[in-house]
Amino acid sequence: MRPKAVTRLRTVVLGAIGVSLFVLAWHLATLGNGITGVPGPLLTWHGLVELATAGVLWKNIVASVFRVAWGFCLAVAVGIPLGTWMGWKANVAQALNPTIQLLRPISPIAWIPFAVIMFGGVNVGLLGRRLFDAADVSAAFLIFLASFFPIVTATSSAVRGIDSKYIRSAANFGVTGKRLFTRVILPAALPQVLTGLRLALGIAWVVIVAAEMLGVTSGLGFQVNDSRNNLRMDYVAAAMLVIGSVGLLLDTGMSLLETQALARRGMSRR
Amino acid sequence: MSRLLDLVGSGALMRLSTRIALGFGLFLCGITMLHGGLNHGWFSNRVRARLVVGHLPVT
Amino acid sequence: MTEHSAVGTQFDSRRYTNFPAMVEDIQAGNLDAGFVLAPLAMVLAREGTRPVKIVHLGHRDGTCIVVPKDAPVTSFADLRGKRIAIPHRYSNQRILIERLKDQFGFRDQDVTLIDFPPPEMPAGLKAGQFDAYIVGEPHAARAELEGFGKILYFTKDIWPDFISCVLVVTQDLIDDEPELVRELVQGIAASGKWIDEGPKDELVDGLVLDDEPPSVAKERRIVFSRSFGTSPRMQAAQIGGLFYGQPPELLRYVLSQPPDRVKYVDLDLHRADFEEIQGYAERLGFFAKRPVTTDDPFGFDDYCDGRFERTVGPTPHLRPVPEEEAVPE
Repeated sequence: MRPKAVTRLRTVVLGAIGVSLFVLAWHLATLGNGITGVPGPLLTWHGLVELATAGVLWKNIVASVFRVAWGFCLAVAVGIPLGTWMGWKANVAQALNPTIQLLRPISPIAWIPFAVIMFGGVNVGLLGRRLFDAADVSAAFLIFLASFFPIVTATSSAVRGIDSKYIRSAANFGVTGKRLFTRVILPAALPQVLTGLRLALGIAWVVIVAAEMLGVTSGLGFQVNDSRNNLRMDYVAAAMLVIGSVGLLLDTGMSLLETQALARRGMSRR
Repeated sequence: MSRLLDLVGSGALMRLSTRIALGFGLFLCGITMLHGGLNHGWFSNRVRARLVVGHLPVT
Repeated sequence: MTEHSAVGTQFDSRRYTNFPAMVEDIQAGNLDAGFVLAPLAMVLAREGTRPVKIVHLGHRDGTCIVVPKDAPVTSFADLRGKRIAIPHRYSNQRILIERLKDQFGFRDQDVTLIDFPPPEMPAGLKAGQFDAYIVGEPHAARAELEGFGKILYFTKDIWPDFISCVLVVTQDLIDDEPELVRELVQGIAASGKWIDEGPKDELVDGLVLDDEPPSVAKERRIVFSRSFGTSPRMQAAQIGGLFYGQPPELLRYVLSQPPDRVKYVDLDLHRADFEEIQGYAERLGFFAKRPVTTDDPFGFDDYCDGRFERTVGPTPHLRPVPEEEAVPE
């Protein structure tokens, strides 16, 4: 075997051992518990199968990914231009940074009541179909808040950190204005921006359980909160497992994008 | 992943950042259609209720 | 619990996970009707940005005080100096504790009240986080069924016809669509009447027994076993299991052990009931932001609107319980 394949095999085997140990410890710690206590892996698995066969699991996964996708993409659409502007113009950064750093540490959970009130009665339709109801908009707004600040901060520091020799040589070649932005600044900042996006998406996904405490009737966070009220702790644990898995998938996707961008720049990670 | 992004647009024609943006857009469209179909009944002729009554699972 | 009223308008129920979320949705204009705690409804009517009116009750009784099974507690007097968990600051459960304090001559500092999420109350009691809890079903029955809790009091023993949750609708809905409100109220009154007084030998639409021929099967039916019981209450437990996602066995226990643990008749609004609750609500400072004074009065007619409950609509669609096939010996 080539050394690369050996390393990969070792990663997989060690990972599997870690997961097995965790499941074993989980099983032993919850031995004898019913569905109203802390459920063990077996009960959780049965709960997961029940949710999947009833069809609600897929609906909830889609609903949560939907809200996170919209909140996150809006944060990207607003955050990257704003962050670039802040990174490029020092006085813009000086004007906006205090506000952003003040708002950043506030947990989106604290925003729940305002998110509901602000978007009350907002129903976005398209061709007579309901696209977002008010609860979707409020939840997406919370996700937006969770991911917006990390994106702005990462983008502005990425742009500020661009090696000035790129910009100077671009100027020597007479590249200015829009072309300077699209040809030099954006590509140079992209890898670091993507790292920021990956972190932001992680935070956004973590917030979904809290965001779905407001009046939504679907989503993995709703599944957790609702099953808790209905005394089905096996469903709670199953939903947690799914939240973890989907989060892992999303993170893998983002990290692949990141690797791709770094490869373009002729850099490799570590 | 490189192959995956190439589906969105080939490297020769489009810059990486444009392709990433397009990929995000396509994902957004797809998940919106799925959500509409599964949770808002877009593709079935469901009669919308005239009034929604809220309740909690506690008496 | 019924989805269709007799006239045929479809009502959808939306299950919330906590009261604040529902209240915020009402205030934001996303929801026009809901079941909320009675004193909370009064506070909303008094101080809410979007005024609401109480138009009907959801049920009566159905609340218990639970203590650990092995605790030497036989009366409220034994809870002096103890901690009691309540479901919400603006709940009638809290007012009931206040009423008991008066009755047993407790001073304010004699009990400590703790706001606690109802689903976690049995676990909290088991873990000793408090010495007793008061809550609406099924969270009292759970401690009983799991064997570590006992019921100290049913509300029927200490405050008969106790009101926990009430149906509120927004004033906007009353003004814009009074007929829709009437239909909703009468539908609820009719289902309540059916649960408590309905025929024992008829099945409500959508329910099917598992020994019936498949030809009876309809869309969205609930299939259950004859041995579960076919009285309206047992049918309601099946329907509730579907809508609440709770185990029908638990609901069956709540609805039958004893049967008057919770009542679904006499759901009309009575002035005396609400004036008593309001008196306590004022004393406890629920209206602190806008105190009730002679210049700024607040009374039954400001938060209740009983005109939609005058007549009771027809009962839900029923069909006879099929005869059991004679099994040859």
